Amino acid sequence: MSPPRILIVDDDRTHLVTTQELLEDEGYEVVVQAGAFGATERVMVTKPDLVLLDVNMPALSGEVLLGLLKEREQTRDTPVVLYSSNDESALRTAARRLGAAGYVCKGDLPGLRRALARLLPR
Amino acid sequence: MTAVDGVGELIASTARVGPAEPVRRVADRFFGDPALDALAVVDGDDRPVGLVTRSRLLLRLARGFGQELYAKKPVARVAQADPLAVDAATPVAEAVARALARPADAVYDEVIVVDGAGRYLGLASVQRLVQRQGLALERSRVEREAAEARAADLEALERLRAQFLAHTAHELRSPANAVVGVAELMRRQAEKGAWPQVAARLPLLQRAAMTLRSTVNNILDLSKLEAGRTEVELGPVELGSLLDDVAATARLLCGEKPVAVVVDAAGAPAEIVSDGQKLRQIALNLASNAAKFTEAGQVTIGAAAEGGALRLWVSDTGIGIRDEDLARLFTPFGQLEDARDRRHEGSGLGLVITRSMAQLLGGRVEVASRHGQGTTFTVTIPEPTTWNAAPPSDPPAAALPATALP
Repeated sequence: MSPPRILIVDDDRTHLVTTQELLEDEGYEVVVQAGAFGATERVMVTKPDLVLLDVNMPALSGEVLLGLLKEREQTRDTPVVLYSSNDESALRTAARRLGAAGYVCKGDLPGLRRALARLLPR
Repeated sequence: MTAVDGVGELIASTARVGPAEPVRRVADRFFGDPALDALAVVDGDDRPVGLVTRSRLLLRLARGFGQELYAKKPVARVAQADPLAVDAATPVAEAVARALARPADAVYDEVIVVDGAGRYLGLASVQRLVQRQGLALERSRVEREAAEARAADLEALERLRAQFLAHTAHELRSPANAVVGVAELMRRQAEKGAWPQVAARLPLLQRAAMTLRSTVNNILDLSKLEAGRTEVELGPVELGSLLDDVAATARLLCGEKPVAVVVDAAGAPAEIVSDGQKLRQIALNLASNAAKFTEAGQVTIGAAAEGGALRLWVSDTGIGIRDEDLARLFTPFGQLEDARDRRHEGSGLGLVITRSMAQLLGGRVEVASRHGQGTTFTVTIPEPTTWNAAPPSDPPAAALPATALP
């Protein structure tokens, strides 16, 4: 069986590359999207099992993008985990309300691992 | 006792007349005193029992046989019985309401003011009562508007502060988390003995650490600048090596992007007297921004003597700045409308600090930019005139002429 595919959307190169390599090291297949623009199309084309979505992105934030993903029939059922440097309870609540499958703080690797294990059973 | 805002304050006249006074004598008083508008009819116990107004009395006397009918009668016969009498402590607004509630023909009759025991104090004109009430209303409206404006200001300030904190938190956490992530990655690679991969990730770690350091420095500098605790320390500054250092950092920040970082110091003096630390930070902030916002092309860090001043500039071939954003450049986080919906990365603290530091050195910052084509920041610093402020460890005398700008 092929490993679960994760799409990472982040405008920050360092976070993008680092998270990609860490997740590949964990045995996931990883595709990346630098920045929010074109991310919905990327989800439709790459058909990931999960989207790891940065929140703070210029012009189009992760929250808005999450809303767009949840609006479209083709992307609605793909679980989205919000991934941010900020650890705010307000964001966690918003994430739940908007239909995110989880919220992980960047740098919290055990938390990320737990969220992925929960959402992508192997 | 009269209440501060009571009707008692507005007593315009204390004119009175006994109830038995003949009408003709009362009319004479009105004829003799054009300013007299009304008289209160007051009995022997100081109780007001009626009101005589000029217009009403003269109208009555002027009608057919008025004189003959009333001239000799006691004034009480023609006075308005049961006039409006209010306690001196009655609020103006209430007195006005009661006065205006009278029948239409009596609305503008004077209001009798009495003390707490019902004894006559004087007359107040409705016109003045209304004027006073209008003033009070106007004042309270102005006060309310001022209070609302103050509240709005505070709210805006509070919002800005909250935004500032949210941004600051993010600007600090983001590179800190990157350091954690890259370090974890390198640890795993090192465990596998994948040394080339470890080496390949080092610049990433270094960049994240430098970004973190620069944000921390900027925040600390800004609080120092705001507290007015930043001092200018003049000394010899070697421009060439300063620009080279800044360029090296900019190259690191550009990473693998196809961006050439070049130094243009051809027109610059080798050494000047200035605050090297601040000049370095000014150049570093501008160069960091250029590196951040340039995807391909060139970043030029330059210096030149211009007149008696030093011109320091950083130009790039980056994304440029929209005209409407230029005005907000120099406010903390000014380029960001909202923490989670922003046009550019970065705190914007660097430019605020750059400008403050340039001002401390007596200089100014200018920006020229075309959206999509690039940006040039130019800092112009006049020749330092306070030579005495140079540290005691003076540079060798021979070096001094070279430090002076042409």
